[in-house]
Amino acid sequence: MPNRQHLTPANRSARLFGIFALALLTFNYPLVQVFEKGNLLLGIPAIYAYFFITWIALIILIFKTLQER
Amino acid sequence: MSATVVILTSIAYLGLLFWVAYFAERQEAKGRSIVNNPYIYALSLAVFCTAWTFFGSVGRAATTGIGFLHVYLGPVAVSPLFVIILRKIILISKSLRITSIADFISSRYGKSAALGVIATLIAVFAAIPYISIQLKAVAISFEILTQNDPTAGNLSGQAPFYLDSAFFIALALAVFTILFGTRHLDPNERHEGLVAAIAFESIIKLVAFLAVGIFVVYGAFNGFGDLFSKGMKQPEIARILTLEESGFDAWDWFWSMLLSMFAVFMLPRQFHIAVVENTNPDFTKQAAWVFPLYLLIINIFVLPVAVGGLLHFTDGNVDPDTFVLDLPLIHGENLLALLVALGGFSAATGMVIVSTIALSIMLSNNLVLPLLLKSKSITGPNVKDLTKRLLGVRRVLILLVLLLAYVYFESVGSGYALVSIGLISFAGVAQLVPATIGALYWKQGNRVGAMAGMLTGFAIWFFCLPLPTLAEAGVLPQHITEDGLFGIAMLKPYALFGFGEMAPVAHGAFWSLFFNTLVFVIVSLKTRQSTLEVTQADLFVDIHKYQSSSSEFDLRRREAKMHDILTLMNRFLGKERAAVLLKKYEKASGISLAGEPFAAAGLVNYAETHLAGALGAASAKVIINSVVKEDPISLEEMLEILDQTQEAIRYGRALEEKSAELERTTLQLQQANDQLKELDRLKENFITTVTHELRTPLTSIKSLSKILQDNTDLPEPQREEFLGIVVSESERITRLINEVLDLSKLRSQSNSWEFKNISLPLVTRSACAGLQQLMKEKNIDFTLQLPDHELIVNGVPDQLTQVVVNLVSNAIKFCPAENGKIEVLLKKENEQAILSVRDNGIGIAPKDHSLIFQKFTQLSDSKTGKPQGSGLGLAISKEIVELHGGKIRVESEQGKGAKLCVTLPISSFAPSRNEILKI
Repeated sequence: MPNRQHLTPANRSARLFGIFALALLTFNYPLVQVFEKGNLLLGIPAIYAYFFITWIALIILIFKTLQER
Repeated sequence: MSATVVILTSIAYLGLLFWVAYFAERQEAKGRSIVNNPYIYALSLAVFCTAWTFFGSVGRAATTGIGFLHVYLGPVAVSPLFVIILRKIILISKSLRITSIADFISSRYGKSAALGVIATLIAVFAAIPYISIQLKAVAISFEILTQNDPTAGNLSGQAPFYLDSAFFIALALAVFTILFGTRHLDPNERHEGLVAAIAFESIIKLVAFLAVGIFVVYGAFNGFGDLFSKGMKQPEIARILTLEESGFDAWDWFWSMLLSMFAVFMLPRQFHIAVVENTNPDFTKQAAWVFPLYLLIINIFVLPVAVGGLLHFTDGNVDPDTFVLDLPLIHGENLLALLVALGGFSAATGMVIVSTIALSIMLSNNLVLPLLLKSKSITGPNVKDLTKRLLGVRRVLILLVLLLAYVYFESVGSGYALVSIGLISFAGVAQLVPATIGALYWKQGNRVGAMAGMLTGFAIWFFCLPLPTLAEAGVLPQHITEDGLFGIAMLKPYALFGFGEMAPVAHGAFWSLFFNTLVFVIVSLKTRQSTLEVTQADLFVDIHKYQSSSSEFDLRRREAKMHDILTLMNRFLGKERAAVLLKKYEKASGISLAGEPFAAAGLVNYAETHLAGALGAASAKVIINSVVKEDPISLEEMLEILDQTQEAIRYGRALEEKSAELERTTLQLQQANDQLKELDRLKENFITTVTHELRTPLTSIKSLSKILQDNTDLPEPQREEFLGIVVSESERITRLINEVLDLSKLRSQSNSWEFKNISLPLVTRSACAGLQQLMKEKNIDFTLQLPDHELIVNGVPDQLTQVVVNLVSNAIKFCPAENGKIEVLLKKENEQAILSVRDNGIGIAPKDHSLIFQKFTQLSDSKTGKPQGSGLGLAISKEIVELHGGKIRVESEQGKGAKLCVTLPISSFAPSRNEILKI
């Protein structure tokens, strides 16, 4: 039960830095290259879908991390 | 659409903004601030989305597909760090009343005026082109709307300025900004109205963009699927839906993202909104997810609008930067077009207002004020209140900045797409990053290093990025771009040192930031910091320490005349505000200032901090220094004060050591106690043993004497035998008593012993001689081996003789009845005399080795029973040897005989022959 855990400031900082590093990795080469085929995914260009889905995931991650106490 | 309608709508919109600002300020006065809210704060951060986002993103997407997105992905990636980095910057800035990014850097590095100037110039150089593209965007949308012609966006820029809409837009914005942003002097008072208006504009531009996006996707087309599948059928459009066609390789993509990541902190307007106007550092917590969410929503329809535009305008006459306006217009949706124009207008005005305010604060505090202060025109005794004049300076500067932006737009900017110019600006402000990160996390970073680094980075940036645009616009000769500076091929702006494969922005950003950081670090490490730099560095890097302990920010011991301080505050802050501030100070510190002739350090610091809020740190320092007498404090002292924390740690460590020492002492005491108890036990044993030893012979003497007394008629031979036993038992008692006396005498009388240089071989020989008769009786084979040379020791002859006698008689005792063998050997080894006595008796088991030197130890053997003697001989010998500074030990195994060794130090000086005592 992650919500029960007590998140110390140092822990939270480490997790935020982790999210930052994760964002840098997912938004950059070579990961983005996987989706550059130019096909459509659910009617949207694949590369586009990739960026927006990871983007939403990041927002959720940040939100969750900052809500926990 | 007629120009009147467009102009009237714009004016009405500006009026609405004014009302929003007014409303916010009214609410604040009533104590019901609407700006003091994390979501309003997060929305105001969206000032990041300018006309560049609103018009330029679509234009960029239409030519490079995904290539517009990195501008937003960078800020999204860095948003989790808002709570860490941005929050720290806010805490520092609130404590020191920092007014701008230039002020922040200048304050950190010793409130250096020069550094403030450099940072200001970098910010201004980087921001002016950026402001100019806002003018361009507004001007273009005005043209398109009024002429109802999508191709009108291709501005020729040929009209004279008094007929040019961009010129009037610049003027109108200047007037608006002046009315809006320069009502108070102290920016740290915050402009709640401004923040409310910016947040409002963020909503307007988001709504407008969503409206046009929904219209394009669901009005002009049948949803995303329809739009994209139509797009995929056209090769030119399908092309931009892949990453390849974005024109970015991994390296360019990474650098562009990094630049936008820096921009979200460093751009003057971002710093102003995020830090200076912030009301609560904890709002960063909500901003960290609301801001990326805002960016996500405003970007969803960028690519669809771009694809829709490309599908509609196939002939290429229409600038993709204006697709958002053209698409509603071409479908006859004039109202929607007006809303879109308003959205673009709000994006542009938000950016322009905040940027020009931030730049005017920077310019007036870091550039103009230091000059004015030098000229003495405002420090003279006749000047009463300067606040009005300072506000006047700011107003002129706002106008100047906007005119500069207009000039740039006319001469250079109109030829470039919005996004390219924006990215050049990003790379420019990124030059402030190394010094800023150093300010937050690296105490050794110093003024000279920051200055050198920023100048180097700025020079390289200017050479690599804006210079070629100037050359292309014909302002500078073209050959610099083609052949390199001075014709040197290594110095081409787009291929510095021969690295020409990168895109210009990545190339320029990489080289400028690389050298910027390198120079900053190296110069910082090679030069010394001043006292003020050390305190500021400590304050910035360890702000949390100061926050929690409310330590004094400024450790310098300063004093000034109360009159001077009051005059300065009245002059620069206005009489009313000065009075309010002083009352606040009196209340907080509990000191009444009336009648005090001198202002103490606390008040001086208070005054400087508040002056800094109005004038910037460097100027405030100059002004305060003009009236302050500073008690010189050495760098060493300063470091000492700053070391308080380390001091505490050291103190704690010392305490730990002390307690460890105490523990050790306790242990020692305990050991001593145990030893004492053991000694006590030994003593009791001793007495018991002695009395027991005495009683045995006494009992036999008593009983034999009684027999003799009672039986006078005992036969002669038996009487003789009994008397003999009585005599020998009495002798045994005498011997025992003598030995006990010897032992106790040893300790008590050893002080009065007379140590002499004696010959050890002589002592040994004479001692053995006395025992030879006894050994002969027992048939013991005795060998004595003495060295050829003399062996002199410092000792007491009688005592040493006693030792030899004891050892040899001990050996005799343990020799077997037949074939007994004793060897006495004296030799010199390692500057020590070693005397060993070996027998071939029963030997001593290793477990008993330490026992045999204890008093009354008599090793018994089941076969032979208890040997003769008192058990004191070896104990006495040990005592004597140790008093001579020597050692005694035993080497033996059960059944193999025993060897007792005595080691004595050889006398250090060689005595003459006759000094040696002859025995």
